[in-house]
Amino acid sequence: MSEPTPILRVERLSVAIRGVQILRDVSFSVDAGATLGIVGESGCGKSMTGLALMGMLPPGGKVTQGSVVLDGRDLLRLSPKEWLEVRGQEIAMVMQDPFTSLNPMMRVGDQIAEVWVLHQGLSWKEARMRAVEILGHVGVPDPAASSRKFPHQMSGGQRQRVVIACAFAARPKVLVADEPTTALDVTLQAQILHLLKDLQREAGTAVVLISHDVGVIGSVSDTVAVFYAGRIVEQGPVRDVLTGPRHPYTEGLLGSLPRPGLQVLESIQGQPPLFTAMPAGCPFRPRCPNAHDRCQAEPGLVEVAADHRAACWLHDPARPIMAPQA
Amino acid sequence: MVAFGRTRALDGVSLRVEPGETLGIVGESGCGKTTLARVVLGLQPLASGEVRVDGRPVKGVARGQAAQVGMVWQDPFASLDPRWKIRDSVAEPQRLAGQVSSVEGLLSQVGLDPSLGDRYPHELSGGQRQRAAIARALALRPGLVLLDEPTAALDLSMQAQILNLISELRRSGETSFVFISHDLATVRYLTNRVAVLYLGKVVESGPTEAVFAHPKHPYTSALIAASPSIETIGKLPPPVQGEALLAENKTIGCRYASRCQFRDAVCERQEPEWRGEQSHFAACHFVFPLPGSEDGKSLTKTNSDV
Repeated sequence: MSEPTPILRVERLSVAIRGVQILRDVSFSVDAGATLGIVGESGCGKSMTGLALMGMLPPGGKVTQGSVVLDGRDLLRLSPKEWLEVRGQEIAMVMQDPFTSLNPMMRVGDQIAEVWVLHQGLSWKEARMRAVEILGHVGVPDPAASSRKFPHQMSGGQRQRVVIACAFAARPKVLVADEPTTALDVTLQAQILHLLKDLQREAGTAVVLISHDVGVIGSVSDTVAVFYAGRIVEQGPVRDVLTGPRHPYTEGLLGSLPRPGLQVLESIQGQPPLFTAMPAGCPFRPRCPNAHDRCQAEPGLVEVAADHRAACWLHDPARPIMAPQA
Repeated sequence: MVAFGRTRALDGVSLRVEPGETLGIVGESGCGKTTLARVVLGLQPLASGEVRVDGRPVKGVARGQAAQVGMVWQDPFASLDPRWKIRDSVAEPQRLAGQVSSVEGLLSQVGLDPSLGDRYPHELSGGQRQRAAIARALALRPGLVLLDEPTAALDLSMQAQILNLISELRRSGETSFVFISHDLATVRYLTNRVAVLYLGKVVESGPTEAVFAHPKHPYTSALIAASPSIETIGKLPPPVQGEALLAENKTIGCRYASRCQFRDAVCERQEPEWRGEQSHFAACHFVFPLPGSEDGKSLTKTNSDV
């Protein structure tokens, strides 16, 4: 099997907001047509990563280190003017809430058409016709009539289809999908995940899927990165990480999932640290059942199996510490 | 039945909760889960029908209801007064009932350090706030506690802590619980019996394990299949066509018919009756799945009501 070259390569990305370090040394890559799942709990930095990729950090946010290379070009060096060309065209985003990501004052057909008018210089007339076409393609019933609707006239599932149509309109090389199905019911969630997969396959798009839902991540991703306190604590092929987690946090997260036949869930004690009061050393140390003296120093990501890395001293190749027997 | 204008939010729902039992109510947005909770709490007038708690009918907006039914809402940040100390929120039901408050005992019962009673809600984590809300629901030792999506606003590790707590409270056996959720995995973990709601109607009910292992209604089966789980890595859940829209609320025929892959002419015409056996029932014209098959795809017509 030949090695595909990653279309998106993020290296040592660090982000601070008003001087508070949020992301630290985040590195990952995604191949064309593949899906990377980013999983973690609230405030772990997963959405911030998505926003950094899109060049849309909140006010006060600053990339302090690293690079985001999309098809050979470092996005972090783009001027605001260059970003206008890239954003929406080469890299697009789908956010959680389709009600806030669509313009409530604009017909949905026009919102899709705008992508082609702005990025490809199509006339409004032509772009509107193509908008009707793509609405049909993403499964909106009666596309011609629907294109003239305003967002509030559509259901949540239909709105999210419109958002996805906007995102795929320019056939971007990379799509960042931040909790795209979290606001939807499970039966709709399944529909939207299928739609994303189909469009991704057609356009060869690389998808960065951000979700707190381990089940969703497991069902659509090829590789996964587990975030904790603004860093990646484990990453690798999705099956390896989810069935054989090597970082105690990933283990705890998976143990927290209710499964049939379980009497007591293995919850993780305590709660994640605040970015303003990050413990020295390993950020998971205060909650870790395997915490050890070595954890006063921060462990780096080390290879634990082929393409599978974990940031834990348990796997230090030079001097692995032994997990205490439970 | 509960009606908002001409929309029937709940239509012909009959449910029982036995003492010490935990009943799960499952369904998607707009199926009537929360309306059902409001009815039991006496916050929602009924168009027709009756609700009894411990044999006594719930009439309209009843003030004394808190003594019999405790309530835990989804978002503890919204349900706890931000200007009150945790201690005061937890003690309020007892204060209103003229009882001596026992906040310390309640807080330790839900795994909160009693010293946290002097904090304000914003000083607690999401999980701790939900524990406080549960302590308040237990304050008057009600026979029944309703939990409406109690973990939906929480992260996975916090959710596990709260589920373990509810599971512990359940095992003490004094209280009955109604656990309302859209999340099938938590319902399966926590409940003995489950009722599946679809657009204001119960479409299936039965012992939790029986319903999950052998669903009888096509909607239940689709709902289970659509829930991504850690057991199905690399497999996309099969999609269910269409959406549940209350606007399309029908008064004739089966409400699920427009989305059902097994629909037949009879489904459009006639409302299905309850069929099933041994306390496991479904409102479907067909028995589902074929006896002896487990794949959930086969189907047979039946004329006999067992």
